[in-house]
Amino acid sequence: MSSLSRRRAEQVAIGWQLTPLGALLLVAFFVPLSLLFAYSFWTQSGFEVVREFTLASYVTALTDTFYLRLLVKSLLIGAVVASLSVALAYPFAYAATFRFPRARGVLLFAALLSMFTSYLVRVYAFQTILGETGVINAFLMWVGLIDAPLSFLLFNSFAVIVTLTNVFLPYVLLPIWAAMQGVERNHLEAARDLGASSFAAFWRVVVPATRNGARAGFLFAFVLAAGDYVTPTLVGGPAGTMIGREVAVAFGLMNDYPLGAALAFVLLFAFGLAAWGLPFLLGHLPRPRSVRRILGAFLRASGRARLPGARFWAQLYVGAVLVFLFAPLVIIILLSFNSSSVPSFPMRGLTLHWYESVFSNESFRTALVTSLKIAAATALIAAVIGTLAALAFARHTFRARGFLMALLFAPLAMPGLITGVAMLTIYVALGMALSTTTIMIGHLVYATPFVVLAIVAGLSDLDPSLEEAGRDLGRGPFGVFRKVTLPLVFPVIAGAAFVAAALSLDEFIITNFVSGSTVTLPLYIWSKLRIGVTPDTNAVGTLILVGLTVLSLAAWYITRLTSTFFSRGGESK
Amino acid sequence: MVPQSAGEAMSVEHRVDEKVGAESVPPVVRLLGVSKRFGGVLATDDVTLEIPHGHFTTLLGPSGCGKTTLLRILAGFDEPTSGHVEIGGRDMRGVPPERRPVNMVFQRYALFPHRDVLRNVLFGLESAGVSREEAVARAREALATCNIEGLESRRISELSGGQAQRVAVARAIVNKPQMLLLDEPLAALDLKLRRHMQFELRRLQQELRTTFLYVTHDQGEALSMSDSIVLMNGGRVVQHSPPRELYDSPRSVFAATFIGEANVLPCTVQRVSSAGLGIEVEGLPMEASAGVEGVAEGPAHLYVRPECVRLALPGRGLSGFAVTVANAAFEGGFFRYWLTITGTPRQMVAEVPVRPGEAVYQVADRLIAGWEPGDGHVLTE
Repeated sequence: MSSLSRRRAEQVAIGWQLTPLGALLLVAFFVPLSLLFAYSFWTQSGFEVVREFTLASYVTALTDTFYLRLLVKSLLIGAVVASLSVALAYPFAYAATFRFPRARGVLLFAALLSMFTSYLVRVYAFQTILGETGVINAFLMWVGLIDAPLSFLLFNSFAVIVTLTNVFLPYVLLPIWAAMQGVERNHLEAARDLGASSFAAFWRVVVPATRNGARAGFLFAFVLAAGDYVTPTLVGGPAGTMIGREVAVAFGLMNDYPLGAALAFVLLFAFGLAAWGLPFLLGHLPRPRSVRRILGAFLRASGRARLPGARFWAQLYVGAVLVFLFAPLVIIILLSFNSSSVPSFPMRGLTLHWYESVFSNESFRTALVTSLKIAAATALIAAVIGTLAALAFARHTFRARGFLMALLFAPLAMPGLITGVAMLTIYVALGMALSTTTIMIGHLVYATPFVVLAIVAGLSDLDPSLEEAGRDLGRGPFGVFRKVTLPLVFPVIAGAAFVAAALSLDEFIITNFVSGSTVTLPLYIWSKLRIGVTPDTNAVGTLILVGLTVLSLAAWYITRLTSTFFSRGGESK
Repeated sequence: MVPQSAGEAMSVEHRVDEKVGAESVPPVVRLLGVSKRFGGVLATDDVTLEIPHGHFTTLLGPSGCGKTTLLRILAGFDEPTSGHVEIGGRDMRGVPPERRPVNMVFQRYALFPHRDVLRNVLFGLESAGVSREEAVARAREALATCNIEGLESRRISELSGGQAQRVAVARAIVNKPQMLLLDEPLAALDLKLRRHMQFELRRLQQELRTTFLYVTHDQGEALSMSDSIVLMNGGRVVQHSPPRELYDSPRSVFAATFIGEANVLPCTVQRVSSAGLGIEVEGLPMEASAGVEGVAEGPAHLYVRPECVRLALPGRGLSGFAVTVANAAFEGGFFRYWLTITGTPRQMVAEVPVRPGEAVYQVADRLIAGWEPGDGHVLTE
């Protein structure tokens, strides 16, 4: 009886710990998506939605060659970006893990930082870099290599691919890197000892062990890149447009929600197919004997070939990737101090003029305050909801645990475009006014899963016998939470809250749909960009970068602190 | 293995209490038919056991035998699937860990990394609402008892293994529990420190006269520290005896082979008399003693400790098996010989003390291996 009542009490605890997260995801994510799905079978005349079942929108989406062509093109661009990212990420993660183990911490932080440094600033930086009056052209003309600016750099698929690869490379790098930490140096050394060249050891030991990480990263980059609408809008031009942009247009200028919804679900279906088809394809790829023979010969030959200065080449490679990741940001920061009003290198002179002009701007100050308020609220609420849910996930086993954990990944893997239009749809359908609250809800849906996963990880690092010791020494469940669990995981919670604040501060894609007349910092930049890049935009971009970097550094520092804290007595000696 | 009957447990307790001379003190712990099922696995299987007051009792067994589960049931971290648990005469059903009169020393200490040494020891007293001054005084006293003074404001990560161990014990005993539960507390220490901490814990127990229930898989530790040992295997209690009795009179083949080393040979009991048993091993008739009560004629097991085996060259007056030396190793104080009984695949081990100048046997030497009739014990299970 007593063990039954204990079980019952546990169920009650799990229930109220998961309720806030469940309510958030249900009301602000799954219900809007369902409504969006319903919309895709309805039609619209003017501003009135006709709630009668019809496949008209799907027929348009799937037969109009304009949309079909864009869909195929977007999927191709997504695949190219994801493949490029995997190809770039593998050697980087490998070199960072096995060649420069001492710099590993710094390199990992750089990779993380690149993930959390402004998506929007990054995208528009490429406009500045690749444009006719952009950095590359200005530089090439200055050194006298060309007389007239090259026009093929910007406003085409090439620019889109370069930009998307830059933005989503960290999403591929991190899972591959994480998987690589599971590869023991011993195994590599054993492979070398058994006669494999370093390349063969990489191919036969590292790649198989990290395949799942690479697959996850590939899918992440593929989905996010193929569903992007900001990059094609800013650097794609007419030639580089993608399906995401058309979905956004359907919910904006065109005001045809059913068509937009149908396009969104066609895109989602294509992603689902890709997610299912990729492992299948990789598993059933024809591997004729000739290919295997050539590969084998190559692997053997690579053992005999001696690449002089392998360490130098590895350093050069890691450096080049870091430059690729951070150069756009550095250029924006430098240009924000440039006294000339056109982007030019070398710079004419230094000035703080753009910062003065930005801060004297009323609408900028309003946007700044709005963004900070939303970020703070998002961080706080996500931390509370996330901590509660993480306790249920990390400390209890229950039947739906795996399923609910998997649901957490849905808002993370969903392109922001679709989350955004789904939310917009439900607000419009309910006649709710768009405000800072609707923006914050959008940010919560996006940031809370991150927070939950981070705290679950923090709690799993915590030795469960610490909590048992608390019980054994006379504290009840809540006393143990207050006196043992919370003080120990608080740094993780705080770190996760900082990350949530960073995500909120930088969020543009969802915000753009649910903001109404409210302006956040990224929206402020966006409105500026519609007019054309002005140098004070660079100042705003720099401010966002600084804010995000500070938040990331804070999160990093706090969690680093914990890991030294967690080392148990007598074990390090 | 057959579960130990309640009567047997009573007799053990009775004997132990005689030694201490405290007949009237009831046992601290009484377990009746305690089973714990994890999924499809029975971690403890119908355990009936009494743990006498004021003693150092050890739960000993191979990993996965259920000893840690038993400890966690007593601490209240796991609820038994069935059976009755009593601590200090109180039914523990539904009593959460924080309200049980026991404290635990965890396997890897589980010291709170966010509190310094003193505040770790204070934790239980704070929970109990003891006033600050009294709590600090008692905490210092407990630290002193555990021979660890002057480290009150150290961070946990700055402690050595031995220091962390002592703090963990101090944190538990400061609450004056009716029983201290120790879950392999020395497993993380190196050999030399482990030896030292064994002495320390034993001294502490004798000083405090608190009941210690100690879990280990190290039989040497169990033999040297305990007043009595509860030997477990496969979730069941195999034998509950004082250490010497467990070593000298194991009541099963498992007990004989788990505690120390034993040569176990299949045999046939041919004659049962009050003077001893007549048995046949590998066709050789010999005398032996009964290891347990109720040995009947029929198949059984003979066990002989390696140190009881005598070796001699043939024709030197020793009667026993003709054996061949398969391997020999110098082990410091003695020689260990692996022997094959000639004409059979049966192997035996003999430990022979080294005396200066005495001849040493070589591999392939043919010898006679024998023992005193009283050193050969017959077991039925």
